[in-house]
Amino acid sequence: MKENANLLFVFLFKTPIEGSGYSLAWYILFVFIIAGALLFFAANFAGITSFIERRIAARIQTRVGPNVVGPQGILQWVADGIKLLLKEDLIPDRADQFLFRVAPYFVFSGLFAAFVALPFGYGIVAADLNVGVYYIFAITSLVVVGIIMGGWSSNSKWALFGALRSAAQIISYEIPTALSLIPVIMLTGSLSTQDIIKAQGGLPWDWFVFHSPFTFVCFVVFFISALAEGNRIPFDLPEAESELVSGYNTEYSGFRFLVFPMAEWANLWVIAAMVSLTYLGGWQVPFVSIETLSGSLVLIFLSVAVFVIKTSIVVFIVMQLRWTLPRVRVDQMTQLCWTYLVPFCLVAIVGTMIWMLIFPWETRVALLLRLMMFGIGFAFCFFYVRRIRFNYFNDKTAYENLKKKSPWYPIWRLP
Amino acid sequence: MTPYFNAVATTLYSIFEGMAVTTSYLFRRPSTIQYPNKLEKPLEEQLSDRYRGILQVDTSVCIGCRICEKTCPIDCIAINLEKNKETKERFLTRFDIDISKCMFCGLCSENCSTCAIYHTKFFNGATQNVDELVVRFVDSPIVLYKHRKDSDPKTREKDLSGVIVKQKMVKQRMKKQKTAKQEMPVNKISKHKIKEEIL
Amino acid sequence: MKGNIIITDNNCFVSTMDDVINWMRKSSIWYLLFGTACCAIELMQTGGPRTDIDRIGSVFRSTPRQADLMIVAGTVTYKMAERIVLLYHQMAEPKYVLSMGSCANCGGLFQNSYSVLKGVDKVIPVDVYVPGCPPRPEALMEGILKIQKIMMKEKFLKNHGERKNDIKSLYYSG
Ligand code: SF4
Ligand code: SF4
Ligand code: SF4
Repeated sequence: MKENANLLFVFLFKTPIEGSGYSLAWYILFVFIIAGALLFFAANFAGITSFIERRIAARIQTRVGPNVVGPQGILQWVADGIKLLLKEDLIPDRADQFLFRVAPYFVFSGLFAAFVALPFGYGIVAADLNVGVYYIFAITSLVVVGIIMGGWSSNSKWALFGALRSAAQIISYEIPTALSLIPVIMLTGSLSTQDIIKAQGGLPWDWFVFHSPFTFVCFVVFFISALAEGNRIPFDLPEAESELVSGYNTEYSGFRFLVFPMAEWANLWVIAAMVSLTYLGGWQVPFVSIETLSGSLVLIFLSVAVFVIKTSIVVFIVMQLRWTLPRVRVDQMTQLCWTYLVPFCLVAIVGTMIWMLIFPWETRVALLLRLMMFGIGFAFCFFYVRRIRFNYFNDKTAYENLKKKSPWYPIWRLP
Repeated sequence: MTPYFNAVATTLYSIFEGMAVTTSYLFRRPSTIQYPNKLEKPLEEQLSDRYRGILQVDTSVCIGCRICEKTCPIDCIAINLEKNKETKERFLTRFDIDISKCMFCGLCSENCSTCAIYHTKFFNGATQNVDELVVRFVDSPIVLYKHRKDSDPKTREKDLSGVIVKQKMVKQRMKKQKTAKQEMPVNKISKHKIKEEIL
Repeated sequence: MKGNIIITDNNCFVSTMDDVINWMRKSSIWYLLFGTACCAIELMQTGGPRTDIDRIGSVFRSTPRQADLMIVAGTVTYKMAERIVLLYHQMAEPKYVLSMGSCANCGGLFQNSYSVLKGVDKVIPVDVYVPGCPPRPEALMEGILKIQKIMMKEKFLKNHGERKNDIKSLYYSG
């Protein structure tokens, strides 16, 4: 952080910072610049993802999705945001005025603070904390404080129910989330996000997900509980609009409401980045060692690209899960957590320990086993593609007979 | 123990299959007709032949039997007839249909012996003023049609896309705007009452 | 944004600003799910694949606080009329009402019923009426396009976002 600030100062003004006498002011300014950049990224990512999600959801439902506002509807999120800013800001009469006002800021700051420890590429991280992953999971729990405050202060039964559900959900799912990261931490020996990525390799069989069957189980558990922490379907119980009008944000309108969906979509990045950095190799570029990576600016940008691509794929899967699965019930949600995820996690932790003792990471046997795991994973993906193909061709003839045209209309063809 | 692991296996397998189905939809053609700006062909052509849209009256073949007025279960239609005492000619002086009230049941058009009243495929009458939805088909008295043996009005060509009724509605809106600029706008509720009295 | 000096000048800046704001507002009309009878089925259809009202940026909100447009879809009984008024007042300004179907327009086929309100415009101001029983999804879409036209005519900055719900005057002036 400090070194980067120094580097930037030298780059901009061609003088070393120590002699200039502005060092404190420059550091403060630098912090604000970084915060602004992260905020810019989070807000824009949230907006653009909301648009992309609507398009993808529409295609899954054989609709078109927003395509009128701007070229192919690309300005839809801007319009939504500005319209919400212009709406009247309502505070219910009997609401707790103060809590009602501050709740969105808690939600927002809880999420935004998580961005500080998230890496974007080799050495590109706002603060490389040595407790990185646990910091992220601790700080995102602030979101639930905001949600409970919002739900309680609204003085509405729906909002209160939403808030209580959210509390129950986060309290349950903190445990499998934390447990499912323990294998990663054991393999790395560190909590820092950068160290976790450095311990993995660029090629798929060097990722932690393929280390052993146990880490694979942990990966699945981590993915599920990250979804639950981020209130994504199938765990979006706090704002289940079929039961609770709109959940904890029922009474919010205008700008204050805008914060909630924005935080939710920004959270998507946090979830996806966490999944990809802990289990999917993060920004590791294949065939490039870390020493060569640190030397070249081009390779660093390549690492950013790799990380963004991996994260986007996870984001896409999360989105698609949302439009595939129905919402679970509250009792099913807690049952899933306590009777399935936590025991599986505990077994997997012990299993990983034994595995590490028998097959240390560097040995040839371990590499062979990792290759085998990767082979199984690859076969799984292959089977998945086969199933997609099967489903497509299953309906093809019927469609052609009915509509007299081919159903082939891939997602990159924009209607 | 077996049901426990069976549940896990079923869950994972069904999620897998579900994902495969939804992904396959990403490669299929959307079924949206992009109304109104990107239609492949006009919507009127895509509607079925027996679609019951907004009613239209071909006043040139109306014989003034008033069957439609009587058969309408909710009194949407109002017809006035006049007779010239000397020439014994009968005129249609008023033929109003309140499409804001009509339920498109088709009873009137089914019973009309000359098919003077029929459903078009025109469906969008969205307006800002509910009074505009009373369509007046007679501007000046029209001599009633006399049915001749050799002709069959049922084979007559119909304006199925509803051009006439569209024109009528536009014309009425123009007229209303002109008159409204002169007089004060009448209170909404009292206007409703007036309409209820008429019909 | 609320600078009166600029606004009373009625100069170019304000008109373009107004246009931009109105364009944003019209591009994201979120409607309140308010189905009271059979028309609601067609309202759901409008969000479905064939008509896809999401194309013009309209999505449903289940809470009135976040909705811009209330689509009254269906028969309004006297008992429901009270709720409609309540929900209407819970919506945040600027708000619009679309009356869908004959029942909401004027009571429709239940006009002689003892329990049905003869037109929702007797309790709340209605901006657009869509005839039909039920209206086709495309007809409802046409109604929403009409609401967009009303939005484009409004002076958002001058009125500080508040609408005089005097539809008549708006209608006759434009
Ligand atoms: S369609 Fe039915 S409701 Fe409409 S005018 Fe004819 S008979 Fe009356
Ligand atoms: S429209 Fe048909 S049913 Fe009605 S009065 Fe004329 S001829 Fe008779
Ligand atoms: S207008 Fe027709 S479809 Fe709509 S609620 Fe009334 S009866 Fe049902």
